Amino acid sequence: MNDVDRVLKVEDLRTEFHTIGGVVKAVNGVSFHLDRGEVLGVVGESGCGKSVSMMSLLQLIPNPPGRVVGGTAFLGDRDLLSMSQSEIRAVRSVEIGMIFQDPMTSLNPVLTIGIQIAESLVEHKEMSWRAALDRSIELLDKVGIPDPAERIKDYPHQFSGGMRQRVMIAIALACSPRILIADEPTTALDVTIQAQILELLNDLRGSEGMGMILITHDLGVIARLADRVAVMYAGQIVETGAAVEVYSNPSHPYTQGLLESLPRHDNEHKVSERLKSIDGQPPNMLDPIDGCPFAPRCKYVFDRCRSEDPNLFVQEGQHRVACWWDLENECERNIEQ
Amino acid sequence: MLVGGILKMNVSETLNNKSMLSVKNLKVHFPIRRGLLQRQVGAVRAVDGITFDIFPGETFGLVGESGCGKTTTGRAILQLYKPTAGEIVFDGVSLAHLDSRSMRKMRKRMQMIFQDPFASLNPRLTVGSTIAEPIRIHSSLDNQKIEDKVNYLLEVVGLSPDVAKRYPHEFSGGQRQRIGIARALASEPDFVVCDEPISALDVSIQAQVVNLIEDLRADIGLTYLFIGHDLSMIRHISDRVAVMYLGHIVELAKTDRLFLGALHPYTVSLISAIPVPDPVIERKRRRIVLKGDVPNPANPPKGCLFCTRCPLVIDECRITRPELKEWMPGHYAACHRIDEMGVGKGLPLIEIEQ
Repeated sequence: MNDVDRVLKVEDLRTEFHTIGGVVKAVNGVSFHLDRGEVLGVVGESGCGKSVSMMSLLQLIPNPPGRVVGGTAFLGDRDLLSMSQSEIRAVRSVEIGMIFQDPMTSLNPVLTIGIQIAESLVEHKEMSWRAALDRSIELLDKVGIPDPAERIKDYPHQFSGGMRQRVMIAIALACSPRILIADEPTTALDVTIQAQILELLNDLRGSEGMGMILITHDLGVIARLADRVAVMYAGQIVETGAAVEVYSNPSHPYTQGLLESLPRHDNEHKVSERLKSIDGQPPNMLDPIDGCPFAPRCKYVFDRCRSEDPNLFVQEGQHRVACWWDLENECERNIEQ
Repeated sequence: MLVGGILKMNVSETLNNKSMLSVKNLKVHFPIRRGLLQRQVGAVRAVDGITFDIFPGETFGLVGESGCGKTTTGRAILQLYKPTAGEIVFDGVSLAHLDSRSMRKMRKRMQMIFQDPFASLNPRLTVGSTIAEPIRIHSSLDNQKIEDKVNYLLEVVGLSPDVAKRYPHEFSGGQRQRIGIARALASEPDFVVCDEPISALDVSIQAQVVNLIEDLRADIGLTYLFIGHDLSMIRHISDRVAVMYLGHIVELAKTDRLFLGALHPYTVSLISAIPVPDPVIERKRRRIVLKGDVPNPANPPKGCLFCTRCPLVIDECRITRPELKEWMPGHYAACHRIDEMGVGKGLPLIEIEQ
């Protein structure tokens, strides 16, 4: 992969929240990249830092209490984290589009859909309102909204949940961004509507070389769309690699535990079979962690895990895992830190 | 699978004689009122004539999308909503005609686990008093015995007895759901309605809570109505499953029968819509993506409820509403087109779609 194809390169991103209870290291040294036209799935449970990572990149973390305290995030040759407010504003609407979980709260209820889509075109692409509204109609058509020429005059409350999410996608796509960040885009939707939105995102993947970062807690959604996957736990990426590789050969006990704990509707019902659960609770991010954050819940834990935090080791090519224990060979990893 | 299937069949066949709960033509309509005089101008038919039985010891899954009436059904069974029509018979007694004293006795035997563990616990009561409350109401134990029982219940759900003095905000979602389960068990019920008990929980915690719910069924001999939208979990936990759409049951069958040989096009598309957590399989799967949204339950379509989105719709579907018919022993579905499609060939609709 040459540098031209690497649209985003994030290194050692660190974001902290200073709360009354103490300092929360919500993102604790996260590194990842995104290439042209690929879909990166970021998966993890609530509070693992997956949304905060992406909001940090776009300087959307409310300060105070939050602060990005370290790292770089290069979009091409420019560092997003050191940009001025006006520069990052242009990036947010032109180069990186974003869609959120709840399509109702992310749309402005008192503006028509057409104005909300056309807005960024007028602002950043110097289009006339007339031309921008024409483009809005094309975009609504592209995201599968019937009768778009009429619907641009409607307000958000006149759309159903799935349709609103389509509108959000149209807004995010308006300026033909290089990256689309989708944060739990289907979590608030019903199953059959989720299938429609996933189908739409699948059709959009790679169109005009757009890369996509898909944040979700649903391992099924990742399996459907992602080329590569990053598994997050307690503010860190604990495993990353090609989706097929990570799912077929999970190398971190957390990834393995998650995949084993899921019942599958394509598997037979077994009356006697219990689900394999991960014991314990997700970590309290206020407590400082020595060593591996997953150690208190891990069934392979040994002394080193409690004192030293493992880095992401290269396992095979792109497949990396942050764990002292080699699941495959059932031995300690022979790597010095 | 065969072993499991046969085993389960034997279990429910021996139990077939006497149902624990019978829901007969249950209707729950919510009035729509307009104008100065608040005259009723229509009704949201949340549940519109559903019938099913639940047998002792089984877990009956009720699945559907939001607004299909599954939660309303659960609440109407416990008489938390007054049914508009129809009858609910629990252990031979029709609940509609009970006076409040006899209903209270019945309530002791029917409990509920709620979806949102953050909203269903009183933030001003300690965990201990939350769990003790149903015991105080339904029994005449003295304080020491109540405390012992609370401690025992906490242990049953996997919490240590010293949490009794703490308040709900000190617990995580999974722990709160355990507290909610302990409260439901406090009155020693026979039947528990689980209303999406895991959908508010993190993935790694869901399995813990589901295992607890399953263990309790085996240990205490509970019977469940398990309401959910996650078909994978429904398949894991239920013996029989009913699929609801717009206030009606469109298909009802034993779990494996439903997942391997669904007859109703809605069930088939619902199953095909859920992504499988395996990229190799997921990318090869054929799926039916339904067009459009669920119609407004205040203004449902005239014929078959699913006719606005069905990939197999014919003219007849738009005129007459199909009845829920038994196509094979214990397998019910409401669709005009099952005859032509053929019964028992496994997901026939998916083949046709492609």
